[in-house]
Amino acid sequence: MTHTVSVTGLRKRFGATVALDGVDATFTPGVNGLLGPNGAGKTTMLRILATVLPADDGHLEALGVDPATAEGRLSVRRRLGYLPQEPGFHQHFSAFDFVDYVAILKEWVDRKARHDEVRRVLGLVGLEAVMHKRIRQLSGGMRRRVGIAQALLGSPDLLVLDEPTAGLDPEQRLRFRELLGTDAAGSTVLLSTHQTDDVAALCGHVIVLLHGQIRFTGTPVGLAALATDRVWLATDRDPRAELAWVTGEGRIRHIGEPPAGAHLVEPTVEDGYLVLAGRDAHAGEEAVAS
Amino acid sequence: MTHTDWHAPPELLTRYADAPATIDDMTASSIEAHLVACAECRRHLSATADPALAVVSWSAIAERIDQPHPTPVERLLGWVGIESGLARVVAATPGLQAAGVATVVLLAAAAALASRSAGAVGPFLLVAPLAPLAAVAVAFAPAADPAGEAGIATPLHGAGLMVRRAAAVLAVTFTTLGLTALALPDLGPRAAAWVLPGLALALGALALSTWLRVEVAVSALAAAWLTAVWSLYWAAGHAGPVADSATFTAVGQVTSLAVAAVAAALIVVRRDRFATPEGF
Ligand SMILES: Nc1ncnc2c1ncn2[C@@H]1O[C@H](COP(=O)(O)OP(=O)(O)OP(=O)(O)O)[C@@H](O)[C@H]1O
Ligand SMILES: [Mg+2]
Repeated sequence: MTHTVSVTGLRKRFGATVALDGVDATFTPGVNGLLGPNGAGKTTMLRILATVLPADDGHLEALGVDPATAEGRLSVRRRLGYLPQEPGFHQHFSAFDFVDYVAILKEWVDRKARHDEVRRVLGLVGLEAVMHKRIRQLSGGMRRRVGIAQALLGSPDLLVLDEPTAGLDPEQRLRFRELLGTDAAGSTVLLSTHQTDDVAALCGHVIVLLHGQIRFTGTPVGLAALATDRVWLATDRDPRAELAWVTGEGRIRHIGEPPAGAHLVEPTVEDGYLVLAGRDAHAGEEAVAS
Repeated sequence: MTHTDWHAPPELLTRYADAPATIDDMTASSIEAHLVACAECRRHLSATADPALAVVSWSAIAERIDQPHPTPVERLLGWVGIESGLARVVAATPGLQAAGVATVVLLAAAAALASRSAGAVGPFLLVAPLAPLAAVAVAFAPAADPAGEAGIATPLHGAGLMVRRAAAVLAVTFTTLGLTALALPDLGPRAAAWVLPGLALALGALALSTWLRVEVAVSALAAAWLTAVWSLYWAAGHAGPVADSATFTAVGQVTSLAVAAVAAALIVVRRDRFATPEGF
């Protein structure tokens, strides 16, 4: 399928910090996941794609236009839904008021149609019952869902979601996955997450960012395959392992060389990600040592 | 949540759907409030009632209940003919709520009082054009957007929103000043001489804000205005009333009109430059 979003040579610095260091990527319709440790540059990349932050350098094309120009930006914003990592909420707004306000900014002029749409998106995230409560009285996960609801207004062609599943309970995460499959079917979804099982369950395409650079791009299966023949279960911790942790059943899961008496297991997306991130952590240690 | 513990009796729901006239207002509104919160009763209602009717009436009920309660500022904007969605966008800005109205009303009152006690139109003409300037400062108050970052990624963000906000706030300001001027006795036709300078200052501040921070633009123009009026008055030998000085007679009025026109053109040309937190 042809891509709907592409970035080439994207760079962004904040003072001395290099947040994005030459990123090239293309995205197609479907769910695209963005993984990476804290500070990797995920939010910076999504904010640039959502037209709220200008890049220092590089080229960006979204939905066939260039958001660096005013016309391009307007045209993208008309077809965009954006959930910031930290949405600001007005003290006095109820969930309904807030989503309605964003709908006004999204040019929903007809009041009746707008209110119907606001109720529809709040229903999609299961907030019908509390939509007239003030946002500050809602729980953290509910607030996240208010943010998701406003991003879904008008079923946009491009959905940029920064950690949409952070703080959602398991039932709501499932509901979120369902609604991406139904309401957002056909649109290009870019989401960042720290939940590798979200990536495995949702994403057709995943990229891993480390220190502002892309370290992996491919399918979740491909990411998991990076750990093929490298994940072991044993009863005792092996000091030579790159990474080792205790599982729920009290066994020790190792990534790296096989410890004595261990047996090989099927790798997950998380293992693949840890192989990449772990390798990077080691590279960092060497750099400090030399 | 209590709404899951209690459900409306099915026969009541059926009667509500089929023969709403037989239910008293109190009961009807408590059913409606419950329906908003309870998906199960909504399902029950749509299952028992004629589906088409249920959809229509549900939507109508929801519309009535969801009606956001307009704040006093929104009502005020409604009175001067501003459409409700826009009124909300303008009034939702926290800074605008209290500070904005207070500033404009205070300036108008100060202008009127000054003229009344001096028994001349001069003080009013001098102070009144500063009110639209204050209004612009309020409309553009930094960090004003209640939708936070989500609001930036919308088509109305930027010049579209700024200009609408400014237009709404200026409409209120000019109406307030106009009414104040009418309430002043014996000022004669010269009493309208504040309108064009006020417009020039407000549009000038908007245009300048594409280069400078809005507080800087507004303070600079306020200083420039006071300086211009006094220097023209002194240059003409500071005799006679201020209202007869160049600023408020033909020359000043034509100049104001020209400044307003240039500023309007600049706003259009530089519409992409209205500052946002990160530079877009
Ligand atoms: N507005 C800003 N000012 C200064 N530095 C910033 C700003 N935004 C991001 N950074 C820096 O840029 C780098 C990338 O940050 P970013 O928020 O993109 O990371 P992230 O991958 O989203 O992290 P997390 O998983 O914690 O959300 C970090 O080093 C961060 O400190
Ligand atoms: Mg982030």
